[in-house]
Amino acid sequence: MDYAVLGKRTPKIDGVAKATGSARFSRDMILPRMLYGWILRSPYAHARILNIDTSRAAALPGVKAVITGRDTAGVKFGVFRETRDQYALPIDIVRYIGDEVAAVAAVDEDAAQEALELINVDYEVLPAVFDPLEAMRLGAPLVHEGVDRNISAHVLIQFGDIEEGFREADHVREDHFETANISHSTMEPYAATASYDPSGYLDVWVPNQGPFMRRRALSNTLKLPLDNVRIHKVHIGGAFGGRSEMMSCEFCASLLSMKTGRPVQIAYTREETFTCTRQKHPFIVDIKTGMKWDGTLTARQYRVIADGGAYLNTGPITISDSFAIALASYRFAHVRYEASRIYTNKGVRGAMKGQGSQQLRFAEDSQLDMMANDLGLDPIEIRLKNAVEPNEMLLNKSRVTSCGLKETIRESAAAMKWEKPSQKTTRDGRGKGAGISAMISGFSMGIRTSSSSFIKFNEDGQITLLSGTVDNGQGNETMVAIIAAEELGIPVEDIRVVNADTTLTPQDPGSYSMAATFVSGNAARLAAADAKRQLLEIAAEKLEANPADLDIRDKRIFVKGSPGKGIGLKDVVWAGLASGRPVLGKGHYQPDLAFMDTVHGKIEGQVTGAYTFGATVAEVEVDRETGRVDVTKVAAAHDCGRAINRMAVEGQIDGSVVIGQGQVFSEEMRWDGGQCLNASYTSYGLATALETPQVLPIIVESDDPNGPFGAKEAAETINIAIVPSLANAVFHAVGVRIQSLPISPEKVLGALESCKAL
Amino acid sequence: MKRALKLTVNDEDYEVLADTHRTLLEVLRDSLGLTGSKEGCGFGACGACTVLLDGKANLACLTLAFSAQGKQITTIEGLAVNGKLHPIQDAAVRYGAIQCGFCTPGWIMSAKALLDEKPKPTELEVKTAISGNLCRCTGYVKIIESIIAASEGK
Ligand code: FES
Ligand code: FES
Repeated sequence: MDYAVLGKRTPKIDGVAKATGSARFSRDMILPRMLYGWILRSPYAHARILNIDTSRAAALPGVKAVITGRDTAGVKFGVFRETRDQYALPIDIVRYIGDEVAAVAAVDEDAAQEALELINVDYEVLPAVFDPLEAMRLGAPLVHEGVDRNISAHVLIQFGDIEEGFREADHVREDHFETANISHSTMEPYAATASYDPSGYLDVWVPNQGPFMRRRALSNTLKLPLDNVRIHKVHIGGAFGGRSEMMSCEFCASLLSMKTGRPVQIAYTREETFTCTRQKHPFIVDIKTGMKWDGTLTARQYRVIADGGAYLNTGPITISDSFAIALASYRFAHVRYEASRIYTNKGVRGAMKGQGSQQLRFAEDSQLDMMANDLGLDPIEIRLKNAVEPNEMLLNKSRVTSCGLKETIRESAAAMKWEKPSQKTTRDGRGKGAGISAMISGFSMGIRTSSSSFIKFNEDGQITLLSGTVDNGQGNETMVAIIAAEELGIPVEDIRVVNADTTLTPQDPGSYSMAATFVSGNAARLAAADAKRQLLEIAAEKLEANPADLDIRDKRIFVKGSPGKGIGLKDVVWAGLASGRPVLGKGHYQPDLAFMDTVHGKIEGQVTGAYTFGATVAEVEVDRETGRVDVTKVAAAHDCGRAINRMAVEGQIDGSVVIGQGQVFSEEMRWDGGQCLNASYTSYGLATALETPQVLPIIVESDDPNGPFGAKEAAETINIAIVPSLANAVFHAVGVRIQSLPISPEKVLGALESCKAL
Repeated sequence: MKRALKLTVNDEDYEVLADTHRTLLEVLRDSLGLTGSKEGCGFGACGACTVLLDGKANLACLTLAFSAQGKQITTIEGLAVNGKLHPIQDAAVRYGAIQCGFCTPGWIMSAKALLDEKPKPTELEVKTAISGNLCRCTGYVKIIESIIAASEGK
C-alpha cells in the first residue's frame, strides 16, 4: 500500500515549541497571584500521627494556608475500588519516609519552606518492615492493619498439569533471579499548578498519562463534581508508567487553592520525585522450566515476590499482567504462576514500561539461555523453535492476531551477523560477546475503556482534531495527526491537534498499557473516515458523481481514475457550510476484550487487542580487571504492526535500549531500612551520552488486522527485550551469569573471581 | 536581602529586585518569565538548566544571579532569530531528537557552546559536550545525530 503521509519520517508537531523553550510544562504555568506550596513529609518509616500543631506555621507572615489530613474529605484513591488504600494526605498513619503529613501555601518558596519547620508533629513511632521476605513472616509488623503477612495482592494462575509437564521434560532447571528497584527518572520533576475559581471550577496542570483518570481521582478525593475539575493539556516531561496515578502534589495544590482562592503551585524536588512518586517493583523470581532434548519447552513454574512498598493501587496489574503477556512469547502446555505483592515501609511501587514484564522476562530469557547452553543448543534456534505464531490461540484463550516474533529474531540476528556464541577477546584484552532475547508485549485493558475523537473542518479546509490522547513525549499528538492526515488526504501541517484536556476533548483511556496507537489512533482514524464520508457526499453532488467513486488526495476531491475531474477541499467545506452541513467527523473505538480481573488473577479470554513482539541482539565488552561492561552495539527489531511515523518508532527503540542499559548495569535505588540512600542523579546511575551504544533499529511490520493502518505499539517491547539480552551477552563474553540486577562491576568481578577459584 | 540586579539576557537589559542568594535559574524563570530553561535537579547533575554566559555553557542552577551581572547571558529563548530556528534547533526537530522535550533546551545550549567553539566536532566531542545533559527518553542517539547534522549544515 502506498501511503502519502504514513510511514515516513515526520517531525513531531510539538517539536518547534520544545526546541525553542516555549512549550510549557506544569511548573511553567506561572499564574497571577500564584502561591507556592510545599509538603511536610514523614521522617519515620512507620508512625502514628498523634497531633499536628500548625498554629505557628499559619501565623508566619506570607503563609496563606496550612492543611493536614483532617482538612481533607478523607477519601482514599486508587484505580480499582478494592485497591484504594492511600490517602492523598494521610490522616493518622504514615507508612514510609516521605509520606505526606501536611502542606502549606505561601507567597513565596522561602516562606513556605520556613513554615514547614514551624509545624509541630507528635508521632508515635511504630515497628516497620523493609524486606519483603521478612514482611511475609508471621508476626512481622503490619504495614496496613488487617493485611495478613503484608500480602497486598496474590494471584495463582495455572494451565495444564504442571507435574505432567515436568515429567515430559528431558532437562529441568530451577533458578533464582532478582531485579532492582528502578526509578522512572522522568527528567521533569513532578509538579502541579492548580487554580480554583470561586464559581466552583478547578483548573489543574499536572503531568499525567491519562487526564480522564486523573480527573476522576481528583474529583473523588476533593469531593468536587467531575465536570468541575479540568485537567488541562500541558507538556509532560516523560512518564514511562510512573505518571499513571494521582499524587499528593496535585491534590494538595488543589485543596490549598480551594482554601485560599488563589492559584497554587507545588513543585517536587528531584529527591521527592525519586522517593515520593512511584518506582518500579523489584521482583524476586524463582523459575523452574522443563525442556526436551531438542529445546522444546514443556512446562514452567514461577514463584514471584514483588516488593510493593507502602501502598497498593495499581500493584495487582503489575503481577498479573506480566504473566498474561508471557503466555504469548513461547509456547507451553503446562504452566503455573504464583505471585505475591508485599507491603513494606518504603516508597510506593507502581507501573513502569510494561508493568512487571521486564522483571519476569529477565528471569525467563536468562534461564532459556542457560538451558540452551546446558544442552548445546543455539540461542537463536531455541527461540525460533518455541516462538508463538500468527493466529495462535494461547492457553488463556486469548488469540494472537498479527505476530512478527520470528522475523524480529531473524532480523536482529542478521543485522548483528550472529554466529554461534563464543567468547572473544578484544585487542585490549576485554571479553566480548553477544546475547539475544526475544520478547512480547501487549496491552491488557484491565480497565476497559475506549477513545473518541472529533474532527472539525474549518472554513479554509484545515482541520482541528480533538483527541483525548496524551503525549508524554512518545509522539502521540503527531501519531493521531498522521493517521487523520492519511485518511483525509491532507498534509499533517493542515491539522491542529487539541488533546488531553478533560473539558475540551472526548474520553480516552490514557497512554498507558500501550493503548495510545491502538485505541486513540483507531478513534482518530474513524473520525477522519466519518469526516471524509461527509466531504465525499457533498463533493459528489457538486461533481455529479457517486461518492463511492471519489477520493481525496493533496487537498482535492476527484473522481478515481480521472484525477482531472475534481474540486478543491476548501470549496467542498464551504459548500457544506452553505448548505447546513458543516463537516464534523466523529469516531469511537473500543477494543472487543474480555475483562481481565488483575486483582484476582483472572486472565482468561481475549485480554489484549494486539500483541507486539520484538527481539534484540546486544554486543558487549567486559573488562576483566574492573568488571565494567560496555555496550557496543545493539540491533533491536520491533514488530510494531505498522510504523505510523518511522522516526518516532526508531526514537522509541533507541530510548528503550539506553534506558534498559542503565537498568541492567547501573540503576538501582538503594535502601538502608526505610531510607533511600541515592535519591539523586549524582548517585542513582542513569546512562549518559558517553555510554550510548550504536543502535540498529529494525522495524518489522506485521500489519495487524485491527490496528489503525495495521499499527500496534512502539514503546514497551524493546525495553523489555534489552534486559535479558544484555545479561546473556555478558555471559557469552566472559562466561559469568549474573542473576540479580543491576549487573554491577562488583558482581561481575566477584563472579569472575569465583570462576578462577574453581 | 533584596538588591537591584541588572542582567543582559538574549541582548536585552533587565533590572529586577532580587535576593542575593537567588540562582540565575530562579531569576530567569520566576522574575523574567523565561521558563525555557528547566530545573531537572537543582544540584548541577542533569544539565536541564544550561545557559550560556559569554558564550560558555553554564549550569544556571549553580550560578548565583548576581555573579552573572555584566555577562552576556543566552538562554534557549534567544536562539531563534526573527522566528527562524537556529540550525541546532532545526536539526533537533527534523532528526527526531526531541521526545518529551524537557531536556531539550539544556542540551541545545551545550551543543551551541560546542559548535561555536568547534564547528566540526567529532562524535566523541559531541558526546562529551552533552554528557552532562541527561535525557531519559531518546537514548541520546538522535540527539547526537542531530548535532552532527547541524555541524555539517545538513
Ligand atoms: S537543574 Fe541545573 S543541573 Fe539539573
Ligand atoms: S526528550 Fe525527554 S528527557 Fe530528553
